[in-house]
Amino acid sequence: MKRFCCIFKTFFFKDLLLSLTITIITFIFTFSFVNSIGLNTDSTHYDYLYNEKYDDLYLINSSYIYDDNDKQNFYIKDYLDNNHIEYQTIYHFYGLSGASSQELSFKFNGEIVENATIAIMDYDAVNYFPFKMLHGSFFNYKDENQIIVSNDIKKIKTNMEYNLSLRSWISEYPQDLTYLDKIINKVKCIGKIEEEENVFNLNANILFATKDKELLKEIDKNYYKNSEGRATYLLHLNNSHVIDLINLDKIMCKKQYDKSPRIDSSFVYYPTFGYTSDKILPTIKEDFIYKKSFSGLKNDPLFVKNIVYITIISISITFILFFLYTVNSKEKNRKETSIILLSGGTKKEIYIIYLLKLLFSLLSTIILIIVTTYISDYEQYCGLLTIFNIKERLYFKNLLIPILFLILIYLILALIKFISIKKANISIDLRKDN
Amino acid sequence: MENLIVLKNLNKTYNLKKANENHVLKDINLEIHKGEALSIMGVSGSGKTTLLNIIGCLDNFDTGTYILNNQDVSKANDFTLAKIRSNFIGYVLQEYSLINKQTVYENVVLPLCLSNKYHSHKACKERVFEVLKMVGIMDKMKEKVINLSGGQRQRVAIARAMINDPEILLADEPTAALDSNTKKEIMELFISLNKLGKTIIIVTHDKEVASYFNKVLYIKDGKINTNKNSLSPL
Repeated sequence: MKRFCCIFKTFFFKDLLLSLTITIITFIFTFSFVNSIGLNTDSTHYDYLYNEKYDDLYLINSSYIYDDNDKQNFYIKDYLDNNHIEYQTIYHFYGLSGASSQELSFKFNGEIVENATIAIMDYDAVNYFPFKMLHGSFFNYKDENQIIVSNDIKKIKTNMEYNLSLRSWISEYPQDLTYLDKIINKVKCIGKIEEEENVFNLNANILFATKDKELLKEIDKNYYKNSEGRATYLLHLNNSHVIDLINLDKIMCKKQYDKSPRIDSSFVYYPTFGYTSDKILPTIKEDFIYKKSFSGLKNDPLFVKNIVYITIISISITFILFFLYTVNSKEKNRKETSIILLSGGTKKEIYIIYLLKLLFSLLSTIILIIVTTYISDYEQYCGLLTIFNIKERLYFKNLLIPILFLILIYLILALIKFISIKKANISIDLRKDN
Repeated sequence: MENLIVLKNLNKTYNLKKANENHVLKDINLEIHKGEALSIMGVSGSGKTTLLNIIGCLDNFDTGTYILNNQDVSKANDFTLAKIRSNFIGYVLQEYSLINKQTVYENVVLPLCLSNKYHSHKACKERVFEVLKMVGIMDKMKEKVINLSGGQRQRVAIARAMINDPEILLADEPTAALDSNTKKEIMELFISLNKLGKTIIIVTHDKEVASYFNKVLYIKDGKINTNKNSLSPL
């Protein structure tokens, strides 16, 4: 044992410390860099809007209302302006709740919205960008006459007790689409719907677009004003995110006039899905659905600027550098092996010690990656709880890719090192010294 | 006198059964007594370093017998050979073979750790200091090897070779990279170690170096010619 410790301490310990130090430095650098350029997880979820042009822009969050006291506060308007997103009007939707909706009274007073795009975003998607975005949580469409369903619908369909994902619901109750098409005129997108205790949880993954003038109606003139004096007219509903699609046919929002000095806010609503069962299902093309749900992300230049993602990449790059270093230090490896042999060690001992070092180093790195993810994740959720949450397995799957990549690098490193050790020859290698 | 090293009909061939086969040692028979000091001379490629490596249990041979300190090492396994190297043999090379990024202490103490002879850190340190004092560089113990001169590095290499108090000290061209003054100092160090009872075998091209010892072996075409008290041309 003492012999092992001696060889390890003499030849491998400093290398190990060096590799870990560089990894940590890379992580800190990346962390600082990402924060310094303001790319935190609060803002990146709007990246898909970059450089787009809208007449009316509807941003809908199912989460808490943004205000100055909320840690999640994020001024959409600032972000849109900074990213050259043009729009005439922003409609900001919050908190979709059946319970709250029932407490409100609605009116149909002819608020007119032209070329509107309404996006309802999953708040989870905000915090887990980019991973959860891959669920197809967000949809942005200019095309008309299309119904686009999240790729996740398939999963939901098989998992749900009542088999009532949106897609299956559409399949079972095609008349509702007819109803939608009739009432809303041109539906562009419908997202994920989950079921919870016989109540459909809209979970905010839904997007509609319409030109229908009858769709959005004024119902109230309450508004919310933030501390900067910018009018932010919000619908004050609670945050349960639940909409009873069967018994409740109302989703509410409030119009926000960011570009107008004059307050002219209004609540609007559009009816949702009552159903009967004797209509025909419109065709939904799977390929198109899949492609559309990813295209916006892949084209987004800011997509990869997520802290977790970059950090993992950085760690991988660090170890690629170490890989190159190892490849270039074959002679050094052979010389060190020869010196150990000269001093009374055996090749078998060197093999074992190097293997142990490699395993230790690999484990340290994997732990570092998980800790990194945990730190990045902690503010919003309970870090590791998320990683090991079955529901979030897609997220964990993404984490596995760099870990597997690291293991691959280590295997290659091990191979190179073992060849060096095997080929080490005192009479040859120690003559190349100095 | 007691034989410390006995080689009988020893043969070594590189690249056996290949186009570039090289029969480098041919039926070598050699006896070296305990406490003896000798030099091995020969032209490049004559097999002198190979012979030294075999004596030092660093290289194997094809046929023949090697008895070291009454123990047949011909068929010893790796671990046994490692123990023999650790306990019986010290090795000094022309290129020092030190780890430049480490200190003198760290370089010298390595064989000591591997031999398990000393169990406490304090005892190890004392032993290292003792050996460094013997070679005259005790003040360099904490210096990094890279900061030392050639002569000092060779002294570190000798200290490392001596740290386990081996019976045999083998040196392959130990003075080739040194100036004449340093060469003289190093050779005097070898002589002093020989006077302490160490068996010393040096491979060299240098007649002056060879002349420090009474016994000189000449290797030519893989065969040994012994010529005592003579430094006849190779």
